[in-house]
Amino acid sequence: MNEAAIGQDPGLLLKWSPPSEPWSRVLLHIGVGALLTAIFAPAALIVQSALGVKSVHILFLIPVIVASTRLGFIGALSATLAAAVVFAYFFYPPIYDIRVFSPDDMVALVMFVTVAAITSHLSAAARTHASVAARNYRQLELLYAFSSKLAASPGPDEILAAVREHASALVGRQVSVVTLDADEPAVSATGDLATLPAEVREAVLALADGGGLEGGRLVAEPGGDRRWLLRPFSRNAPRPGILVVELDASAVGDLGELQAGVGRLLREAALMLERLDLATTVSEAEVRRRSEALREAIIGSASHALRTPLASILGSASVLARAPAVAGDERLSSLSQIIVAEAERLNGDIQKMLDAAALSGAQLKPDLAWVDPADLVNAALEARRRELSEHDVVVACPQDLPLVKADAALASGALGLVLDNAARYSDPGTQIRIAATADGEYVRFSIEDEGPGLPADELSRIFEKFYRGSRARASTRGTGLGLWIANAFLAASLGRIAASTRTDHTGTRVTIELPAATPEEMEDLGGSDE
Amino acid sequence: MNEPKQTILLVEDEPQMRRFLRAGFELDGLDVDEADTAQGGVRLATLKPFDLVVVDLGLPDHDGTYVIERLRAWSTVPIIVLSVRFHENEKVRVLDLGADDYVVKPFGMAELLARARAALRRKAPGTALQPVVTVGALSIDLAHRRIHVAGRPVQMTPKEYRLLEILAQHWGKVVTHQHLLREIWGAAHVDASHYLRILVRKTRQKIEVDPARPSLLTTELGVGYRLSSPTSAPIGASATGDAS
Repeated sequence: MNEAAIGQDPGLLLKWSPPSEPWSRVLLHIGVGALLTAIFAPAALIVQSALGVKSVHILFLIPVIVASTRLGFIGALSATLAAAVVFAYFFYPPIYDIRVFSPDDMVALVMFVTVAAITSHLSAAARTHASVAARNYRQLELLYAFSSKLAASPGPDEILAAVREHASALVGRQVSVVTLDADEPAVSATGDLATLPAEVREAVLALADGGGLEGGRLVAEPGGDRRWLLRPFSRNAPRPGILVVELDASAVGDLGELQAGVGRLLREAALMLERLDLATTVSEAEVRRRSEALREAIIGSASHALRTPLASILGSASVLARAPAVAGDERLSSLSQIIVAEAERLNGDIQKMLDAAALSGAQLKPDLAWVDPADLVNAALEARRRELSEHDVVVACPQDLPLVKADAALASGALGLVLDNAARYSDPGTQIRIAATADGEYVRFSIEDEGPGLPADELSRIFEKFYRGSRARASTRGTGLGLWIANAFLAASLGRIAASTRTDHTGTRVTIELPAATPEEMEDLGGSDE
Repeated sequence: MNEPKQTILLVEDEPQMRRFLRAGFELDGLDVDEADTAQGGVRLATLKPFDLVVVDLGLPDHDGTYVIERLRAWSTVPIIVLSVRFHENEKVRVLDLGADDYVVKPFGMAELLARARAALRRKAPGTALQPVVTVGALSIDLAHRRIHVAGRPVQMTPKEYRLLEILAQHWGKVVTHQHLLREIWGAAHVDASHYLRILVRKTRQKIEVDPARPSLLTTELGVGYRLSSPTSAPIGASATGDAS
């Protein structure tokens, strides 16, 4: 928390002064207070003469209390003094004379003034408290409306609109909100900036440029009465900005209160926004966690639900193919081979879709270790034995390659997917060449096919999800996932992949690079052999 | 031949899987007993001797590893594990528990039969005492600590010999990285799998025809190594030299 930024106003160029009532209002209160007593006096006289009540002065507490609740302390004091004059003149002998001679009357008069003064002070204090409570209630109401609006705000723009509206309602003045783009090298401001006069705009940009978005500033219109209070947002706000409150000429007296009000608003808004932000983060994390668990459950059950029947189909067909009756009949054995081949192809496609689904969610956690590049190539070739069976596969893997750092399963999986792709998109009988070479910090695996190759504009796109080359789309079955998965596998395993068009032959070359051990590291990795 | 038929215990809950596995094994001259739960499988195994146990990892009452653990408490019968999903860690786990091999579903019958035949051969009476293990052109004389490739003696460093010795003792089976590291370098080096990569590479250069395309000492990626007779030729021709 940075209380300093939001709680104080170190840069504010104004001194706080207690609110003072204008003279006209004080005079009005004095007059009205005296008038209340004057209106009440005839009624008191009538009551006294009709009923013969002696202690009529108690009755004069009524106009005093009315004045204190309605007008405050000044009005009540005026009513009290007026009542004292009325007593002295009309009620205490000598009547119609302001002087009072009887000690009893004197004491009664002093008592009355004392009691009235205390009473009016108390009721005036109660009135102040009541009005403060009423104002607080109104502010709470506004704040409640503000927070509901905030909670319903789908984005920062709506939040800022809510801040502006709330600030206007709270201070009862025109409020503008200017947001700053802190990411830009030069501060750029948006929001209500355009509606502000030039000098205010300059002050806003100067305040933002200074970087010290703390405190605030008062800007006066040169040669005019209008003034503006500039107050930056909290640093915790979702984006930096400045609140601009327009002050009219009469707003001199309660400027301090206004500042305090704006400060309060910004503090509350910042807290609200933080809380909102936190709540959003928490609920997003919860949603993500749940959808992650759901995804894993779906992948798990899909894997089981799809592979279990496939295992029965493939297994049954493979047993049928071995049965003498089928094996002896070429037509039947070719049918069972079709079942086996299609089931295996389906299994491969299911694997790709499950891999793609898993990759779309959680980050892969690679199990990195030093691996022999030849092992990766051999495992990939073995896993793709069936897919490569109709091609002339040539392997060039020197014996002295450095070890590579990789997740063995992910890296050989990626190699297998590239081999599968090469076999799919080149004619049976053509050559697929896989070679591994050491190249400085990397071991480079290149897989070359003799297919039609790819147009230049498609080369960079073949690693996109579901992308299928224009030449392959019609003629070859595929999911458009293989190379995307290969790319993702390698990205998780310190590797990288690229495609290019062969220059020595038609066809495509895909290269995969994995970080290699340096010669010094190779010395260490072997350990002692004795 | 009047040799008694070898019997396989099949622990698998999917009826369709059991049907084709039974048919496949019987076509190959093997007898099959079935259980559809882990408990049932363990009970059946105590009632009569089996030559091989094939167990699915996903069973309704217990994990298939329960069967491996229970059987390994008193039996050395070869165990082959089947599973739909096999992460490398799971493969290592079932091997460490004492399984002989694993096959990932879906699979063809030929593949499972090849693994089953290898396991049954290892289990055949007398094989455990064999002082010379022959795998393709490689022969490992465990009694005299000698290695021959195509009849010619080959010089090995002590660690290279130790590697071949361990693999020969478990020929046909996958031996995990951890097992090899512990046996060759000691328990302190079970994480130093790169030692093993380099040692395997040097050993292959002495025993393989094409060390980059090994056929005898093969890699089970992420799991371990296996010494076995070549079942099928490695895919693809190796390009010699740097002709392109």
